[in-house]
Amino acid sequence: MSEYFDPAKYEGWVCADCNIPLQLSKVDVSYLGNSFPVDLLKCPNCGLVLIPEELALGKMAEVEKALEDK
Amino acid sequence: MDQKQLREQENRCIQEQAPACAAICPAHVDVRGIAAEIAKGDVVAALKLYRKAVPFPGIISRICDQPCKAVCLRKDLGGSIEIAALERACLEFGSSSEETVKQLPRKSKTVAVIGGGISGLTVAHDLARKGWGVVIFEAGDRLGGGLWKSPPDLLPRDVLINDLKIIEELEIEVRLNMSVGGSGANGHGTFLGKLSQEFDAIFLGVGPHSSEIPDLQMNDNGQIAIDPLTFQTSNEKVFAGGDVLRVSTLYPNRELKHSAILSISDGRRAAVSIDRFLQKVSLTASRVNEGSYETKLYTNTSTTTSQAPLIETDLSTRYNIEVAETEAARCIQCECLECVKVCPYLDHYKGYPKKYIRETYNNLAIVMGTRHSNQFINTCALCGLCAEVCPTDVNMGEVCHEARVTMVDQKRMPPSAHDFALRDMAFSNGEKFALAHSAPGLDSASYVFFPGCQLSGSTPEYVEKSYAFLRENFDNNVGLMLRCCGAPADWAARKDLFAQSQNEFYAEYEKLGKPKVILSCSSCYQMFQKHYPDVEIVSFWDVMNEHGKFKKREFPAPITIHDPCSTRRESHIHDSIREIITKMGGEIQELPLSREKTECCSFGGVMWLANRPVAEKMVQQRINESPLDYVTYCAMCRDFFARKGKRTLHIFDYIFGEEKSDLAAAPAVGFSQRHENRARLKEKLLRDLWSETMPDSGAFESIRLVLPEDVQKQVEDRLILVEDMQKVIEYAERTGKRMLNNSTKHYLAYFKPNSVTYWVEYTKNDDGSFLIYKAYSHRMEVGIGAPK
Amino acid sequence: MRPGGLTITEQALAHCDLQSGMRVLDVGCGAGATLRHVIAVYGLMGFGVDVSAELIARARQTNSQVEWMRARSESLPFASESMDVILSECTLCIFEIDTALSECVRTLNYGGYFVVSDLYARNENGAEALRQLPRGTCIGTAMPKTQIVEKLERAGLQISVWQDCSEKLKEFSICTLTTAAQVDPFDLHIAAAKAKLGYYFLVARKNNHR
Ligand code: SF4
Ligand code: SF4
Ligand code: SF4
Ligand SMILES: [Zn+2]
Repeated sequence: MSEYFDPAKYEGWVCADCNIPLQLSKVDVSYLGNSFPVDLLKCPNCGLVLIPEELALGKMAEVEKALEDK
Repeated sequence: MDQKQLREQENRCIQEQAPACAAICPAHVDVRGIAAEIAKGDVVAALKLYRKAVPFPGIISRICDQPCKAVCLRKDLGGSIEIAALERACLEFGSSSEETVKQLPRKSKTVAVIGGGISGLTVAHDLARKGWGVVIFEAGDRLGGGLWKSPPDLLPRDVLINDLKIIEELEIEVRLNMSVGGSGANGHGTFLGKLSQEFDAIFLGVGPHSSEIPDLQMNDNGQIAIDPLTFQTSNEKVFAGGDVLRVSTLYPNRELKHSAILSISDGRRAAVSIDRFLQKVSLTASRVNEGSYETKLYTNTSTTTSQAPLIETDLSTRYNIEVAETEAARCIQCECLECVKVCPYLDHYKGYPKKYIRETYNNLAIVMGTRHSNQFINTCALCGLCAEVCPTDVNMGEVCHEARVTMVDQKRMPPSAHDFALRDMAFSNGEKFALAHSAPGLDSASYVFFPGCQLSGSTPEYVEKSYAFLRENFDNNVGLMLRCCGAPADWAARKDLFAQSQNEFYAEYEKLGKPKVILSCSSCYQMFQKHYPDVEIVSFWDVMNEHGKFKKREFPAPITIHDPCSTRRESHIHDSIREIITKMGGEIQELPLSREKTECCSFGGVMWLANRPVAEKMVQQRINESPLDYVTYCAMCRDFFARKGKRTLHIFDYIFGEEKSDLAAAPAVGFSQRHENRARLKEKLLRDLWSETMPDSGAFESIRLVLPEDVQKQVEDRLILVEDMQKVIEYAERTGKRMLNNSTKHYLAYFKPNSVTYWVEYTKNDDGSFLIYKAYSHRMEVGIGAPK
Repeated sequence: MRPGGLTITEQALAHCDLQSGMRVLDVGCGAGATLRHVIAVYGLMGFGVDVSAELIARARQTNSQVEWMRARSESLPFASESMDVILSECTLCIFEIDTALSECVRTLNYGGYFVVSDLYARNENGAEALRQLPRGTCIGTAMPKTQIVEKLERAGLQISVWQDCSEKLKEFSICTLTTAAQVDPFDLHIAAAKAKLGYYFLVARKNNHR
């Protein structure tokens, strides 16, 4: 299970456009030419992806900083 | 600045020079280090340092003539450090029976040492430890030479004998009763001639009357010719030291000064030469600072208080351990660090410029393993205070700025470092704010007022009032130019963006007929000085001081002035400000660091964005310097201090502000508000003065947001602007691309106008406005894969 | 899959004086793609070892000229001084390095070539961050250059070429190098960035005399 955010906290979220619940799936994230797949909540229909606040301000911010200082 | 100039700055920093004591000591005993260790209570470590410099510590600590005391910086502040007494204390309290001498494996070559005095013994000791075979030839019947002449109560014989035991431990062969000089004929028959066949090198450590030693060339003065750097004689195998050296080099001064520590130094230096000679490497390469010299180290003792030794001390005094520690603690621990003492940034990284420049240089050359991150280079405020206090003018601001230029050139500048400030600049140079007009009713201008983007962002009403003041005083012939001077681009080393901003300025400036530019912001003033040499500029404060009519104001208490760091070199502005305040009846108490020595508020160099924790330290340090209200004349300094709760006024608050309200306590203006203020200012001035209207605004601007106080604080902290959130909502509402939480009914949506993705959680109010719950952002991109 | 693929192998072998008929051993040969290529291009006699029975079985099906053997690199089933070239591609830091190196040196002829390509930590001080990663990644054991050089030299090898080819790593997702699925990919990239994870190849020769 992913350690970078808690999907249980986001159970209530649905894609407003398609009106279907978001599902955990592999999504590529990238920065400064480095890319890797992670598990994120995504609309299985239109592909809308939810980036949780704690991920954006936590691990994502850390990766950004590390890659910028590389 | 190229790498050569970087190196040059690095070389100028004298922090790594030896303190006066160690430099003047011919053997370079690390007095400062020894004192530090003793003061810490580590006599063992202190003794180790001492032994490193002196092979016969017991002897030296009792008979050294202590040249260090003559130059010690404590001399006139209670009396020089009693170093010999501290050395004796190390020996007494730090010696242990387990000490072993380290010796390299025995090599094949052997050296003859002639003369068993202290310089000869030092040569023998040093070479034996390096693994060379050594034979000492002594004319008398015991080793030690002149040492035996020192009074026994000063140099107890057991100490002397004990120190000399090391000669035996190192398995050095000693031949007593062997005289050198004057033995008959020239050439091979002589003792020296014989020795040079038998040995690989010879050290001549004999008394002053050895000029009759055959085989060696004499100099013009009839003394043995000796190279003053390597101590080599005309015979490449023969090196000299001790009195024979002194007679030769000090001629015609026949007064020989006997100094044990000098003899040790001679011996060490000769041993280095002999070792190199035996290894067949250069005798002369990198032999700097050998023997006694004067240091270039600067140490500021202006705040050191005078303190005398605990007890009176001479060469026979024995300290107990407490007295030793107290004496050691008197050592000033001489070093420079003038710049580090005043700059929280330099202090934060726990080094000093010489080290930093060395590491920056490595970083830029991309050698393996960056020791300092890009962030280090981006944290400097570029304020130039370091150069102001540095005895040799080292300017880390220049070094860091140049390093940023290189980083940008090499495409290694972290995108997040300056992005926010650059976008702020883009806003100010965009249609929401940028404006250039001659005075209402005129086609060209003799003067143009350039208030800058930050004053307009913080207090737009003062821009209006000061513009009115200028028009009144210059027959209405003053135009107005609203835009950014380009400082953020300069600080971020974005030459491209700076040039673009500059070109836009010049286009408008020429249309106005190249008027004189009146600048109220000190950062603008600095940028114009640096990058617009052909533009004639005037400081608004000089104009105000000359033409303004000032009412007396209430000053409940004295105030203190914070000069913005960008005015460092502009003493005329410092004077004008002080005169204005005095004319209004204010009493000024200067800060310890003001005018050319003023500090940065952390806005400079985009430091506040590149490294928030260090920037906070910087502001905090400045505002802690006085409990009085601060008065400044830069909008950013004012707001940075106010944000930290420091009562601060912009001088405009006195000139144009409401007298009744407590403006020193007014909150700082947030980032979104600054944009808003600039846009409103332009709109109002256009309407009031030129009867023009603003161009149409974007669709997102009609989105009304409601931000509870905590959310307002959150977004300000996260550098998220109202316009960023408006764009997210406009996009989400227009396209339907958003997420819905079924239980809370909140929407969550994102938008990526540029390189940053913004997220907003919101609900729509009945009145059509949007209530914001949170907003956050990231730079990582989602859903875009790298080539596999 | 490994960064750079056959391009790096080719670049490295260009630094070796190869004669047809020489004996080449690939330690950690996997399914044998490299060996098949080099024996065809340079006319060498090929030997491949890998710990995975499955990979060796697959290699056997593709080429019968090569001697494929299931073995650990820490214990090679070859006589001393029997190989002219040993290849180790992206495998050195997953071996028990000291034992594997001494086995390779034993097996090599005097003057024989040891050709390595692998990950390394370009920032010596950041290598510590890699060690914090859960076990089971070859990234976690990547060493700084100084350490690699020291180990090879101590094993009796003389390095003649060291070439950084970290740009090859850029086009390669380092996640695919990690066998342990439970590694947090964010942590992995943070550590890799701190260590300035890079890629290199080197060519070393076995010293003539001990
Ligand atoms: S105060 Fe200390 S460091 Fe400075 S000169 Fe004196 S002994 Fe040396
Ligand atoms: S002030 Fe700073 S830069 Fe100048 S010599 Fe001293 S330590 Fe070095
Ligand atoms: S912040 Fe100012 S004083 Fe400190 S290093 Fe930079 S330019 Fe020098
Ligand atoms: Zn959908």
